[in-house]
Amino acid sequence: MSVTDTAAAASQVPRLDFELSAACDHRCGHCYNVWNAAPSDPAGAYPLRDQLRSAAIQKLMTKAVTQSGCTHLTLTGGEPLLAVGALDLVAHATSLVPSVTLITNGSHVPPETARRLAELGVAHVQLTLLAGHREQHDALKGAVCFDDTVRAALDLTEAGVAVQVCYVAMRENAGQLERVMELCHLLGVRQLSYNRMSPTGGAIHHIERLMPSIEDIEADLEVADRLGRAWGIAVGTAMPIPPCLVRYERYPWVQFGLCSTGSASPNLVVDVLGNVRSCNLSVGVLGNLMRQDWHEIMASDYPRRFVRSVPDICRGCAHERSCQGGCKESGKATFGDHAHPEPLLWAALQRDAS
Amino acid sequence: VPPADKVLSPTILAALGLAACEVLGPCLLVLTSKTDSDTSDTDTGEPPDTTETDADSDSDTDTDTDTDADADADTAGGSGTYGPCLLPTLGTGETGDTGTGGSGAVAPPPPSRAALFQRIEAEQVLPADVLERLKKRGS
Repeated sequence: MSVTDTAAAASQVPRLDFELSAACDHRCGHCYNVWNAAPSDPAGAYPLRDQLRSAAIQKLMTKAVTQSGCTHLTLTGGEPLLAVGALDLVAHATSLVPSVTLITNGSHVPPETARRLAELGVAHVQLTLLAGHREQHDALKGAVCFDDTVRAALDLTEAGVAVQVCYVAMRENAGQLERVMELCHLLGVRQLSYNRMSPTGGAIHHIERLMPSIEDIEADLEVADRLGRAWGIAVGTAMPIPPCLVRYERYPWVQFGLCSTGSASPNLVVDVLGNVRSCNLSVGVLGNLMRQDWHEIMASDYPRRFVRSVPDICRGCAHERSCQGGCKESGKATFGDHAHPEPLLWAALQRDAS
Repeated sequence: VPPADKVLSPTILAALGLAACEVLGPCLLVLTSKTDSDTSDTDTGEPPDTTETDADSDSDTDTDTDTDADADADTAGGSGTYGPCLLPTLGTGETGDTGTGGSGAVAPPPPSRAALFQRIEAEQVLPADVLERLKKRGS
């Protein structure tokens, strides 16, 4: 095996995200899209010049899958269904890998699109429900979209596409998880992604208003454990909740996820510029797939530097390497430093110190 | 409850502006020090407590000797100091400290599908067409 072959083998990853469009017609205060940060923000001024067109994205997708060896693609954005030729991009993705997930805001899935996604073999579609009634949901989404979202969930499940609901826990929707899980139960949704707000992008300006308390999160987890078990709704957390804040063992039904950067299954993202970033919440660019091959990009030392950079308060903790201090990209976006305690941890430290 | 120097390092205590770990309560994270001779197993505590549900934690007598259920899987090791336990439910760390279980009442069973339908229809939670389709699906 040549040196190049060895490098290529070492750079294999099981999954990739593609951001098909930076545009979105919802205005969520909690949105983590990095390009929405203000230029003067710690992680601001992410450039969006020269966004790729559909044909270029297809070529890039082929290159990424071929060179990375990934078998799962997540198509996201922005709102991916606003991309020109969005369904062609979905079709291309499903032709490349056995498993494709589409994350959409739910406003662009009429019945014919739901049927087409089923025909294409999309494995999962993720929709967001922030509350169990339209007024609160629409207020948090900054768009009139509750009815379209529940309609999309029904159309998709009836077409045979598994729907995953994403619930973002915030101060302003505290207590709504129970109502959302009730809707999941009625709509035939069997997967829930529970994500406490993790601010990057423009969301760093809404921390005071939206960041949930640990008590809010614990109350949600109790609901998730109880109703998930009763109704067979799988619950997982994608945004990390540090284990010094919540006792995982109290919620055995919930699958707790921690930051995957630097792991064997990183949440790498290819964006609309062809940049490969370390995750959706990160402005950390490992390289550009338009100009480089995958193994060159994976030689970036960003993940290694990231893993080494943890808050002082976490150093020596038994969970230092697995937890790393929660969502350090939100620490970087908010405070300008991966080693600064991220906002959820920071709030807990401030509270305990006071 | 382990002694303070087994839980938090002086550096961390100072960073938190605290004098002793009792302020935070007993840390449930791994308590083994790096100076332990056995480096192959970081869990020195009891087997993971998988039965505690805290449904009746009004009278919770858990003295928190459990040294973390997921410690076995975490091979991070560490420098001999341990992260601060910020678990808000531990309060002052006194024995018999109340947990998050609340009033001691057992959680009610989830509502039946029929009861859910009834309430959602009454509160007009769902658009009429969705409600109708769900009714047909259920019938």
